[in-house]
Amino acid sequence: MPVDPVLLLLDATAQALTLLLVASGLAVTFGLVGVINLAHGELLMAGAYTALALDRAGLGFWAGLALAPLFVGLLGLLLDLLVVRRLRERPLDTLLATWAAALVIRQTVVALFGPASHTIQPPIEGSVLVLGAPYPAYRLLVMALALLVTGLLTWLLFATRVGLMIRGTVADRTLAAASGLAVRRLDAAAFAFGAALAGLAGAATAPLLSIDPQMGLGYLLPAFLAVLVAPAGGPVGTAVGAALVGGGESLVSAFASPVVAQLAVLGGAAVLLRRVAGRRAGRER
Amino acid sequence: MSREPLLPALVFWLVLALLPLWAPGWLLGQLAQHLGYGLLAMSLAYLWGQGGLLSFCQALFFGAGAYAYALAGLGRLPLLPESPALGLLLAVAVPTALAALAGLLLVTARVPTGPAWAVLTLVLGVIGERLAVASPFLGGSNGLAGLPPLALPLPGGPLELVDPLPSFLALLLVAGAVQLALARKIAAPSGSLLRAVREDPLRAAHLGIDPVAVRLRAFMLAAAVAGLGGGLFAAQFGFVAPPLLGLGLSTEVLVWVAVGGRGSPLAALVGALLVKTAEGLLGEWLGAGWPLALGLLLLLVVLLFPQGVFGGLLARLARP
Amino acid sequence: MLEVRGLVAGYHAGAPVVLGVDLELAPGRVLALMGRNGAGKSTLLKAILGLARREAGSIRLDGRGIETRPTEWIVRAGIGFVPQGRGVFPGLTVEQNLRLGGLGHHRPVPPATLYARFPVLAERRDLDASSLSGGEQRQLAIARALAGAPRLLLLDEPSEGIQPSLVDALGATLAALVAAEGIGILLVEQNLELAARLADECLVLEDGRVIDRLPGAVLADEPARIERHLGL
Repeated sequence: MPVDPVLLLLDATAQALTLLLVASGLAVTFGLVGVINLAHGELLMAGAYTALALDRAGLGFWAGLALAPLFVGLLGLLLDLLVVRRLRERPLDTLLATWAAALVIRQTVVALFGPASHTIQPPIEGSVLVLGAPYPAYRLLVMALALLVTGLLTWLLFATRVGLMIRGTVADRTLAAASGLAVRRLDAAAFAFGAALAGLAGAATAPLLSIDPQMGLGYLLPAFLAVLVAPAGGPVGTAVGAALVGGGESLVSAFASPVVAQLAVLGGAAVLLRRVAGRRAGRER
Repeated sequence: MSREPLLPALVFWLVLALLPLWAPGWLLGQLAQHLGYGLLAMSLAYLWGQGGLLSFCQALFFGAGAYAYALAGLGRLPLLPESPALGLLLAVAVPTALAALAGLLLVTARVPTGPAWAVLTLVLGVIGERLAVASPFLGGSNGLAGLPPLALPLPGGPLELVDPLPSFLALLLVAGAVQLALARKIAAPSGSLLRAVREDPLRAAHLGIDPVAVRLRAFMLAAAVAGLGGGLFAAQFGFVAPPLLGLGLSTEVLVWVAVGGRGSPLAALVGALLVKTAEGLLGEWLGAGWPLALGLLLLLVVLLFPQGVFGGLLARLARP
Repeated sequence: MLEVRGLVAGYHAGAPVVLGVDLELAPGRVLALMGRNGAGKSTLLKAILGLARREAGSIRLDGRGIETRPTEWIVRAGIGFVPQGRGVFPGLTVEQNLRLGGLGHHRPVPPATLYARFPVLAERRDLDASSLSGGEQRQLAIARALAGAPRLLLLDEPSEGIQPSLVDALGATLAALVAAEGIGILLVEQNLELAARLADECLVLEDGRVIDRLPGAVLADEPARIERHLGL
């Protein structure tokens, strides 16, 4: 089968930008708060199921897209209050506890919606001509949303008071507290905000995926790899990481089976990650 | 914990050894399988509790051992004879070799207990599971069935480990030997080295310890123990499938070890036996609620009993 | 007015480093804490701020107990802190450091006011704080703490690692703060000269306890009395 290069490029861009949207919440909780939240995939799933539930309730997709960040943000706040902040000094236990929370969320979804998979219709049908190739309009919308969120994050982080407080806390937590900043409240707010972004991403990508209780891990690993291989912190670094992981997977899958593509990207990212991890460790020394 | 107390271990093994006097056959058969899981739990307790290396893919090595046993037992390996005994050997050798390979990726990352390590173990687990499902050689998602049992060469003719009692006793001996060996290892100088690297890899490096080598050895030892458990499990179960190496089982073993006590292989083993027994009693009744209960259990244990339920107890006994 | 009574504090439960210290610090006064390394001076400062475990004793600010308050509450209540080492936010500019110093406070001091007191910082305002020289970073750390308009300032070894010529200027700056703005300073200092210049009173710590209380004048007039304690 001949491959249309324009379509190939569009697909790779779409996948990279979708992953960017998915990873942006993680970039906040991991990159800024420093919490490795293994329940992040399940928060995304919760966003997707929120969209599904509201769509089924007849409220339509847009209501879901608007409410998912609120609902999942609250879920994140709860997770921070009950679990994450209690384990601040025990990072290994944070991993374990958020992994447990992931299991709890997943099984709650199974209990509420059953183990089967669901789909929802994209709210806008049809396609738009891009560089002469027809492309689904809703995918383009999701791509635009990813760019919007990245822009918003950049603005929040670099042009607002809260952003300055967060950057100060990231740079030196003790000094931030000793300067009068309420670091715990900042943590909670940033964690909840990261969760809200996960909810938004989950709802926005829901019409593009099959929605099932196991989908969380499918979100989590590529998103984590994207954040981890990011050459620099901040939203722009995340964008580069997402381009590497998401775009890479899309390009490989054009020439090989999806399973091979996933494995190749997971393996490739893992190798890249080793280098990045080594470099970061070297820098901290 | 730097030392496994000997007395509770001996009491524990003695009580288990006396079980066949009154326990029904089905319970022994079940316990034999659970002791196979117990080996997996002990391997994780060593890696995580002693080495500080929390692995989200420990079942990968258990499953690799199980598959290695299955392939050799069914005579599916090129150039190698169809032999359960060889299978058991490979059940230890293959996971160890895999761990050496994976270790090059994982352990040599210079922040092994950081986020990179955790995510990499998850990635490994996913890769392993997907490969097993996609590989016709490994039987795909159906797995491999009809495995031959292990046989002990006794003077009066070989004794196949099929019936509950011999299976139970064999597993008891192996698990007991492994537990005591791990306890010795933990108390030995090499155990202190591992803990020194866990506490402060940089300082350990300054003291002339190679943290990468120490961690790699721990990773391989844990894989060998897990693989042995997997091989023995497959020998009794007669069947292997991708869930034996998947993230689901990897998560379960985290629960066992967290509940029992990460610091001590014995406590982790007890955790595995208890949780698996509880699953046998409650699992059917709770149905799909069982995984939910496991998740909540793990959450509560991490928050309230970081040493595990038995780990704290054993630590108190270990104190002079 | 800060009053500490019978303070026991440390980093790990059951292993206190500070073993029952009493002190009081009023605005406009300078109290020097001296002693060898490991005597518990830094831990004492951190315990007052809630950055170390407070196991027993009372800490009162203007008569109100603050032992159980989180760090940011204590800082907002008027106790500024300059930790040992650099004490600046790396990766942020000088101006951002100064703004951050005030962000948690009700009435922050604007950077412009701080620049007037620390002119060199005005020249460096858009540079990354970690690119400044040691002396400049120390000035920035103090200015950052002042951005919250504190009434009391806890300084942990401000002269450590900076050139002797700059120590003099630092002394002048601190003296001016006390004289002009009535700020009280709790000063952990190894540099006897600087301590002698500023301190109204000096506490000597050894193994977590106060073993001597000397009027500030003694530091200047009979340095031998204190040098004995410091093992100089």
